[in-house]
Amino acid sequence: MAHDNDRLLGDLSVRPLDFVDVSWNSGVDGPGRRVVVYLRGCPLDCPWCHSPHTRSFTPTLLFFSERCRLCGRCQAVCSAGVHRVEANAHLLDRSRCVACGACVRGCPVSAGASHRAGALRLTDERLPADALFRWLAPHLQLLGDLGGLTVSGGEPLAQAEAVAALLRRCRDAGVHTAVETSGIGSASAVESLLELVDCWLFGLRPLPVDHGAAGRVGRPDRVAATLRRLVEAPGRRRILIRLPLIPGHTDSPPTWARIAETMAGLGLRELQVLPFNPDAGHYHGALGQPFPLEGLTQDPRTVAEASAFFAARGLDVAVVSGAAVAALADTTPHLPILPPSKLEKESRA
Amino acid sequence: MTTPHPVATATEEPSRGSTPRTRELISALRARGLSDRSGEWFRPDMFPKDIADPAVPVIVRYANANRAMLRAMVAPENSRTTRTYEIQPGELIVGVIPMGSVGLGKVLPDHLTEEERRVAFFSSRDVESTFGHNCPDHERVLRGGLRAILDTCERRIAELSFERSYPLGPCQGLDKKLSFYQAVRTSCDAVVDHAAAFADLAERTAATTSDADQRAELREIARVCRKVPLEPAETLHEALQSVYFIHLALHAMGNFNSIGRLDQLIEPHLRRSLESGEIDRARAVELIECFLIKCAGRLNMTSAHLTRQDHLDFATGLGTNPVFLDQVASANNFLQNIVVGGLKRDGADATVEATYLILEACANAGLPTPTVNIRLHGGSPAALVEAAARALGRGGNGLPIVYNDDSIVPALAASKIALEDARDYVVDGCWEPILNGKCDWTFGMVNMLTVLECALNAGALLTNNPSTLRGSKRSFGTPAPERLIGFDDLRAAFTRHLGHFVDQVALGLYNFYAIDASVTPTPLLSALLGRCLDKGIDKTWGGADVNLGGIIATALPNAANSLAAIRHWVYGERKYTLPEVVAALKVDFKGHEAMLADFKAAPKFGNADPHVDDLVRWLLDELHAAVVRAETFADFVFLAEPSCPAERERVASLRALCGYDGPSMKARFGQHFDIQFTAGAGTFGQYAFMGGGVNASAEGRHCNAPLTPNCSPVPGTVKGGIGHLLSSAAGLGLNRFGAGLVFDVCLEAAPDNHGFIEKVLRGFVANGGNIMTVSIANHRLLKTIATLCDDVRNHQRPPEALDEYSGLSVRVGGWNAPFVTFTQAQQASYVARVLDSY
Repeated sequence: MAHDNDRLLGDLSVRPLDFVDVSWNSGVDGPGRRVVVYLRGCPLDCPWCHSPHTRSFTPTLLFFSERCRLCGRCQAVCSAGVHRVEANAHLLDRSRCVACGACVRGCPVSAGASHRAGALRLTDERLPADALFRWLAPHLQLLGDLGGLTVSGGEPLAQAEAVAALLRRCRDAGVHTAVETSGIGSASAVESLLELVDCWLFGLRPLPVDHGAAGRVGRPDRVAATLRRLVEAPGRRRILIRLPLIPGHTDSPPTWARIAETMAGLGLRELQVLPFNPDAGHYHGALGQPFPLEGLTQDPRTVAEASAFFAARGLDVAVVSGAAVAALADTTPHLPILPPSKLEKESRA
Repeated sequence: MTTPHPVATATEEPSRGSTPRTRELISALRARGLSDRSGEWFRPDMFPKDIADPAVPVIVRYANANRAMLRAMVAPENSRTTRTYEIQPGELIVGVIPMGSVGLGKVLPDHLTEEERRVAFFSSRDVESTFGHNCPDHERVLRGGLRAILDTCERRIAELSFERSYPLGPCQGLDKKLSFYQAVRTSCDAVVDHAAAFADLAERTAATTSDADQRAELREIARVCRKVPLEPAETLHEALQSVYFIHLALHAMGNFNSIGRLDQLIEPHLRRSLESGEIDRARAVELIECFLIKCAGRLNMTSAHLTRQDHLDFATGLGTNPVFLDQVASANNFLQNIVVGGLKRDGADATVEATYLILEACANAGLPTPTVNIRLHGGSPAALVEAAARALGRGGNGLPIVYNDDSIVPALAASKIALEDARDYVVDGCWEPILNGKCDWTFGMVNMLTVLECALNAGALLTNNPSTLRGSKRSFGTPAPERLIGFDDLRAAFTRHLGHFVDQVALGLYNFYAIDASVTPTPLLSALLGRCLDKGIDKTWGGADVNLGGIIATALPNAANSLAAIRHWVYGERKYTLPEVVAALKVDFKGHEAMLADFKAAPKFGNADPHVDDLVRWLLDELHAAVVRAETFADFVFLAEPSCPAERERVASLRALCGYDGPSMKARFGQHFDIQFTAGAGTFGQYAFMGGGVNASAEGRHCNAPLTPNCSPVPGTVKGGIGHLLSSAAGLGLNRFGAGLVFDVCLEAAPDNHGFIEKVLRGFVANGGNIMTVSIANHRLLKTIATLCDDVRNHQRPPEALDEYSGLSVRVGGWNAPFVTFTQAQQASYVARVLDSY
C-alpha cells in the first residue's frame, strides 16, 4: 500500500465522500444511538488501530478466509494475477492488486452480500454528500431524538469539505451530528466543520511519534491546536475526550496524568475510556497484515483503575464498550456506565 | 481512529421469574424440557377401546373421546408416566396439558370407525385432524361458567326431544342438533370432572403437608378448582384457572387453540382482587407467571430426543393436504397466543392495568410459549409502547409480537367483517389475525416463486428432467420465455398463473367444509364459538358466525428480488436473454457464475430501494386483486342458489368438478355461511422446509435453499438499517392484508436497548406496518451456538454441550422456540439476519 498520506492530506477537497462502511445502530460512537459512517483514509498509523482497513486513502481489498469456498472464480476473473486458489488455500499477491473489484463481483459468496457475509470486499464506497444522506435518511429518521449521525474514520478532517456538505444536510433535517477525530487536520478543515458539529469525539492520546514507534505523521502540535480551537470557538459544542486503553501504550498512570492535565488546562470534563478491543486484530487479518498487538489482553481492573484515576481528578468518566461493560459489572459495581438517556439530555441542552 | 466494533455482550442467563416460587417452577420446567420426554406421552392402551361405535354419531363419539382423554389424564396409573395428574410444589395454577405439538403430533383416544378411517384417508383426514387455529370465547365461561352452557344444553335437549317425539316434518336436523347438545354436555361435564379431580388432589396433598402456608395455598387451589370453570370466576386466581382449564381441555384433544385478549379477560377480576386487598400487584404478576408456565409445560428444550416423540401422522390438522411441515422447527409450536392492548370494540384504546402486568410477567418468565402479542395503534399510550419495548429487551424470548391495528382493522373491515368485530381481533395459530371467539379460520398458501417459475417457463416448473420437455407442468400454458419480449409480458404471465394458484386455494377452503364435519367435529370449542351453541350447529358444520379463509403468499420478497434482477439484467441492461436465464435457473446456475454474481448484486427488498420496492408493491397489488377475484368465483361455485334450471345445471357441474356434489353451502350450513377471504404474506415457520423442491430463483437463490422467513427481507441481503425496511413499508399499502403480513426482524442485543426498540415499534406503526416479530439476539453468540450445534449433529460433542444455551429463544416465523432445537438450515437463516449491529 504505497501511498503518500502527506500529499493526499493537502488535496482532499473532493465532493463525494470516500467511505468504507456504515454502522446503523452504534451505542459506542457518540450520544445515544448512532448511524456511523466510517470514512476512508487516515494520516495516522497507530499500531493499536482496530480499523486498519480505513487507513488507506485508496480502495483496498479485504479477504475473509473463513468465508472462502475455494471455488477459484476470483482467480479466473482477475487479470492482475492477485489470486491463486489451491486445493486448501487461497493465496493473495496484494502488490499486484489494482482495486478493480472484478474478484468481488465474480465471487459467488461476495457479490451482493451484506458486509457480514462476503469473502472478498473492496473498500471503495463513494457517494456525493446528498446521495449518502438520502441513503442514511430512513434510519436516521427512525432514530430521531435517540441519537444521530457520527462521521468517524479514517479521519473526517481529511475530507472536511465533503463532510461539511453531509453535515449541512443533517442540520437542515434536524439530525444530531458528531465527528470523531484525532485532531490531525488543517486549520481550515477544522474551521469548516465548527458550526456543523453538535458533538466532537476527540481521540486524545500519545501519538505513535511520541513513542518513537513506526508512526507516520503523529503531530502533537497539530492535535493540541485543533483541540484548543474547538474549545475556544464561539458557540462551543460538546467535546468528549476519548482514550483507548492500549496495553503497553496508554494504560499507565503517566499517560493518564498527561491526559488529565491537558483536559484540566482546557477546562474539559467529559472523558470516555475505551477498553482494549479483544478483536482489534480482525481487519489486520483481512488485510493480510500481522497485528502488532497480537495476543495482548487486558485485565478488567486496569479499566477500573483508569476510571478511578480520572474520577479522582474531577473528570466525568464513562467506560464505553459492550463487552467491557458486562465484564466490569462483576469487579466494579459502582462504576458509572453512561446511560444513553443521560447523554441525550446533556447533548440537547 | 478509535471506532469500537460490536463486542459480544455477556452470555449470562437472565434470571427468570419474579419470585422464588416462579424461579423454582421455571427451573423445574427447564430441567424437564432438557430431559428425554418421550416417556411422558400417552399410549393408545391407556384409552378405552369402545369409543368408535358406528351406531353413535361422530360428534358424540368425539365428545366421548374428549371425556376419555380428560379421565385418562387424571388416572393415577397413567400419571406415573404421563405426569398429567400432579401438582408441582409451589404451583398456583394447576392442571397438566399432555404432550403434543404441531411438529410432534398428538396421541388421542380413537373416535373414528374403521370404515371412516379408510375413507377419510382419501381426503387426508383422521383422528388427528382437529385443526386448532381458533380462539374460544373464554369470557363466556368467566361470566356464566360452564353451568350456563350446560343449562342451555339441558333446555335444548328437552325441547328437541319433545319436538322429535311429535315431528312436524323431517327430523334429520333435529337429530343432529340433539347430538350436538349431547356432545357439548358430555364435554363440559368432563372438564368439570377434571377440575374436581384436581381439587381432590390439592386437598389430599394439603392433608399431608406440614407447612401451614403451603397447606392454606393448596386448600385455596382446591376451592378454586371446585368452583371454576363450572361457576363464574370472581378473583384473578379463579379467572386464570378457569381460562387454563378450558385451554387445557381443548389442547388435550389436540385442538391447539389460542387464549385471546387475556388482558381484557382478566381485568375485571384483577381489579376486584386488587381492590379487595386480597392480592397486591406483585402477587398478580406472580399468578400470571404461574399461568404462563403452565401453558409452556410441554416444551422440549433440546432436539436430542425429538425422534422418539414423533407422533405426527399424515393428517395432523393442516387442512386437506397430507402434512407438509418442518417437524423439527415445529416441535415446540402449540399455536397458543395471548393478545394484549389494541382497540376496544367501540374504537377506544383498550389498554388496561392487566395489559402491563401480562407484559411484565412475560418478560419475567422469558418463556418462548405461549406467544404474547401486543396490538399497537397510533393512539396507544406512550407508556404501553415503552413497556412493550422493555419486555422485548428484557425477556430474551422475542416477545411480544407486534401488531398494527391501524393496518389490520381496516383490512379485516374491508373483508366484509363488521367494524366492531374487526377491532376486537385476536391472534391464532402462528400469527393469523382472526375474530374474537366467533369465527372459524382456515388458510391456504401460494408460493410466489412457484408462480414465477410458471411465468418464466410457460406454465411449467424449472425442473431439469429429461422426460419432460420443458419441466413439470403446474399451470396453464403461457408464452415461452423467448416470446416474453418486454417485462410487461412476463408480468402478464405472472398475473395469469397467480390467479390459477389463488383460485385453487379459495376453492379448496370451501371444500374443506364439505368433509370436515364428518370426521372432526369439535363440540367443546363450538360451544365457545359465536352462536354455534344457540343454533345447535358445530363449527365444522359451518356454525361459526364468520368463516375466515386466509390466502397467504410465501416467498413474496424472493419473487420481488428475482423480478428486479430480471428487469435490470434482461430487460434493462440486456446482458442476458430470458431463455438464457431460464436455462441457467434449470441447472442451478452451474456454468453461469457470472450471471449468478450479477443477479445477487441486483436490488433487494429491505434496503428502501425503489428499484425493487415497486415490484413488492406490484406483487401485493396482484395478490390482493387475485384474492378478490377468487372470492367472487369460489362464492359463486359453492354458494350460488340459482332458480333457473340451466343455471342450476351449470353450478352443479362446476361443483362436481371441484369434487363437491352437494347443494349450495348456504342451504347446507345456513344462510349465514360464506367464507370471507383475507390476503396475507408469510411462511409461518416453514420457510426452510418450503424452500425444498423450489428451483433456483433469479435473486441468486440456489435450488432447494430456504425461502425468506415470512415477508421479511431475504437474510443476508440487507445493507441498510431497520429504518430502511420500515420506510419501505409505508409505500406498500399493508392495510389491505387482513390475513397478516409479517416482517421478522432481528436486532443485535445491546445494553439499554429499550429506547431503540421503542423507536422501532413506533416506526413500525407510523409507517403502516402490519405484523412484526422482533428477536433480540447477539449475532456472535448465535454463531457460536450454531457451530456447537453442528458439532453435536456430527457427534463431536455430547448434546449436553447445548444445555446452557437452551434458554435463548428466537422467532421461527410462526412461533418462538429455543434456538438449539432448530435444524441447521433454520440456524443459518437466523445467523444471516441480524440487523443493526450495536
